[in-house]
Amino acid sequence: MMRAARLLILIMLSLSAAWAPAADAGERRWNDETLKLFAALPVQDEGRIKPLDTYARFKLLKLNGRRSFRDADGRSGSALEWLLDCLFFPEQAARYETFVVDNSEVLVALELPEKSRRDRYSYEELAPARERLYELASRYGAKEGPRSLLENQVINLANNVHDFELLASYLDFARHKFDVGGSDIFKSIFPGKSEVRTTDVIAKAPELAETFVELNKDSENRKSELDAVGRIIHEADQLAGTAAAIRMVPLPNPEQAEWATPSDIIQLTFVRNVPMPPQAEILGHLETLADARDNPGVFLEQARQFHQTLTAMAAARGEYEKIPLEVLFYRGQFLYYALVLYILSFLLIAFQWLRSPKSGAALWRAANLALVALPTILLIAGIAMRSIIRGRPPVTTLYETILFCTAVAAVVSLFIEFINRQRIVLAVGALLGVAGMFLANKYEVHEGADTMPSMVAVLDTNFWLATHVTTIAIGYGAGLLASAMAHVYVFGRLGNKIRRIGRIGRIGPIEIEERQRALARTVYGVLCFSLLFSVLGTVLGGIWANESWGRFWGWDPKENGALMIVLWQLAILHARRGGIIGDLGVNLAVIAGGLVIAFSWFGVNLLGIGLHSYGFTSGTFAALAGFYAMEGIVIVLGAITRRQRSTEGQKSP
Amino acid sequence: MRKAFRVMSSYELSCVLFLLLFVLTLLGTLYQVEHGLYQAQQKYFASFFLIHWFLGVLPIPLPGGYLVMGLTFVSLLLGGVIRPRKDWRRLGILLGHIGILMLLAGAFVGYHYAQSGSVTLYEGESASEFSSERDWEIGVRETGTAGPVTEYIIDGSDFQPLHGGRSGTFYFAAIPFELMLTGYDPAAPATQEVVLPVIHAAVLPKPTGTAQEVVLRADSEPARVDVEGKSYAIELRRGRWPLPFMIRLDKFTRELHPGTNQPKLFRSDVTKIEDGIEQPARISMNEPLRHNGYTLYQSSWGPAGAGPNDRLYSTLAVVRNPADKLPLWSCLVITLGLTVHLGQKLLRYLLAQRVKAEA
Repeated sequence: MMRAARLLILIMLSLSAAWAPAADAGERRWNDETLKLFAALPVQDEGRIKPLDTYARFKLLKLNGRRSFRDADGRSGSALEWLLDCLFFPEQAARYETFVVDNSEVLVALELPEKSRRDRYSYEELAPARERLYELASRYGAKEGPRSLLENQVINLANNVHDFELLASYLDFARHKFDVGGSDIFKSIFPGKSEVRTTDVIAKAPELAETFVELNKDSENRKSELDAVGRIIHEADQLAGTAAAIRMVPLPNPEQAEWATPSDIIQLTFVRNVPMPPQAEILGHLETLADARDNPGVFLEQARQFHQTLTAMAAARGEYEKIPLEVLFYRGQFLYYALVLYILSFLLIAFQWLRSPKSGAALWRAANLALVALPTILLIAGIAMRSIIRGRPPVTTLYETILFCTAVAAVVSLFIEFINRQRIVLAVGALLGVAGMFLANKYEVHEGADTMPSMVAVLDTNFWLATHVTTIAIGYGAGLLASAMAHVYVFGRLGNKIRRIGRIGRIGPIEIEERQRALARTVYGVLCFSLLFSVLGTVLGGIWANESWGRFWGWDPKENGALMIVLWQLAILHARRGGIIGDLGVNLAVIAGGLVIAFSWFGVNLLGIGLHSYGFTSGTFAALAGFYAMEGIVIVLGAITRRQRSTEGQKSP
Repeated sequence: MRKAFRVMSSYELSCVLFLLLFVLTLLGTLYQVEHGLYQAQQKYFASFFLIHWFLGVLPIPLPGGYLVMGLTFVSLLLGGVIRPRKDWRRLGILLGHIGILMLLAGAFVGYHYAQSGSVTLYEGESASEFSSERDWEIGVRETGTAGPVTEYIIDGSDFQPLHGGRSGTFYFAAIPFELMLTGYDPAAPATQEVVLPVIHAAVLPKPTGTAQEVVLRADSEPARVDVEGKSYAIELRRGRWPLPFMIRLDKFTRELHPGTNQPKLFRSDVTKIEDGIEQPARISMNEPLRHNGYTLYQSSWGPAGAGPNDRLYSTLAVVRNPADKLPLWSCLVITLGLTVHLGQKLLRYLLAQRVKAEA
């Protein structure tokens, strides 16, 4: 028993380690103050304003499959540090092994030396095959019909390499010096200077353009001057293509929703000949920062000013207020700590199963409640923060259903513990907490994209999101809790049977019988609770569909999934009422109900059809199949216990 | 009779029906992957009986969704509403059952009596009729003549039964030929995803002449035939219903999330014209226009790939469903019923716990 417990602890710890933040090792380039300032810089990405920290997290997650990285010397760092390295020290960032390649066949296709099957590569390692990578990717991308896994992986890698190149070149404009010492023509435009910066050039864009036109009229005699001015224009034009990775420049007109990139500003002022807008100030800040990269003190001071300017511009548009909250949400690692605490609470409650505390039952009980309540509060706080950041009800994406269902299961288990003190349900709640937080993390890593995306047009309704989606998710969460509890019931029966055969155990059969019966009653109660919300959620979904498409029910796969949950649960309740199945039957059916929920929750999205196929996840299939196989075994094992006990398996009152 | 009542109102039957509908729903969902939504609906949900090919080799006869839902209605009415003793303890459950009955009744009315279709308008255009989603008609008219033309219509109910070797001949006094229709197929593949009706037509000049055969495909160009030196167009198309008011599309707006290609909003600014009175209205996703029993929803737009200055069109779905509000009412009844029931249960449980604790 102790060995099993030790193994359990080991598994749990490794679960939490998968999500652990990067440990500090050695000297770091960016000090905390600088990181704090950059973390909270507002940028526009994928249609919304988010902190640079969030941008960095998901960018690195997509490239690296992790939220942290190791530099060339093996020191680990955060996503933000990686992003700053890419921007300010691109030549060094090119040596970090941050490109995860899931399948070494991709390397074979690129004719590059491969490491192990799944490994990480640096930009420098991939660079020799850059042309080939892009060529293959564009060929696969243009292909009609379904693509193979390898082809998709090549396309992904090409996208990631491109993303990195965009980041690495982002500050080229800030590093570039225009040589204006060689020709007298620049003396009047840039008096007393032999080299100038991009901002200097775009400030003088109209004059440069005018001069060029003038010179062109007499191009025979003034060829060298014409060439000199032409070269400056050409260089600016080149730079206008390089600084497009991040939309960092808010425009003064709040009507214009789209933020600009430095590229846009250079285009606007120089190529399209519009006078330099006040936002070009941002470009000036980036130039001074680029100059100060080797001097942490100066850099920090410049970062402070930059932060002040940019946040003021965003605030003037009313687009800054939620940034600090989002920084807090990610830096606070609410979900990570919830996972750790759920693991701890499960282990402690499980320990009490093995060794029932001799005294202080009330104290233990309060402690147990608190142990599960604490991570649940963290989780709910996380959900609430996300909800505030997005200005939306708590559930709008598949990812958020995972958080929400976990919270529902935990809250319901706390409630049950509060009213009936079985302790067992609390442990189940904690275990579901662990599973839910782990799944959420897995999902986020797998998708490698911002979990707070912009909403598609059809979802733009807070009323229906708040009612239909939330209700359905409560139904899912409670249904899964019931299913998990039914496992305990079935395992209890199995244990009992083994004990009987082996004539071992400390607790008397009557005690066990009573405990099992109480558990079955609780499972039934949670099932009813789940049914209430499943029915309501499904009907509300129909009403929403009627409101937005003019039909109540369309046999869409996700609608069908919800209906199947309802039908299954109704069948269980009616079969129980009609005396067709007893406690064991109900519990086995509830476990099968968990499978139905899994089908509706994730399986339907695998079909890749219908209105709700928003969360298509390719790796899910194997996980789902494994889950189904495991549950199948549990149901069969449980069914075996029936024969000998059919005489005792009366209905509960 | 009493035995029939006992069977129809039994828990056993309700369980069987739930499980049958469960199986149908699962199969109908999986069927969509290969065959699309419409075919799945027809085969599994709108049918009385069907043969499901298990793994493609084993034929399994199953009752269809229509039949199962009909039986569920009866079983629910007898077993869930009529049979149980009426007391306050069962009030919640009773209400829940009544709510589901209302839902099924609403589905029945909607399925049989709702009109649904769409109207597509370019900015500035107006219409006072809409084309059906499911009903079809054949129009025959002379072409190439100046001035107004009379079009002759064959209603869908007259030619839709003409499948499996059956044929029907139609003629109009002013048209110099008879039209023999046969081989109606309600779901012939039109594109990879869309199925549309097809019918074969033989044009037989009156009283004698050489027959010409044409295939009429829905939502396609009309078939052209020449008879006695005159040209005629024959068209299989969506039936059209009048709207009791006129609708004009003033402006269609499509917004994207900044810096992305992801749609944020679709909106049609329209004017409703009734008895000469103009009234502006706005239709967007989740915000339909309801008037006089008709509901107009934002459905789609085009042309695809239109530039910022191109003239756009908007397609509005039009639905007239006499049972439009029934689901909402039933939802309220179900909510009330289940909440009452669950509340009672919980209360009783808590009281029992307290009694046990005191004992």
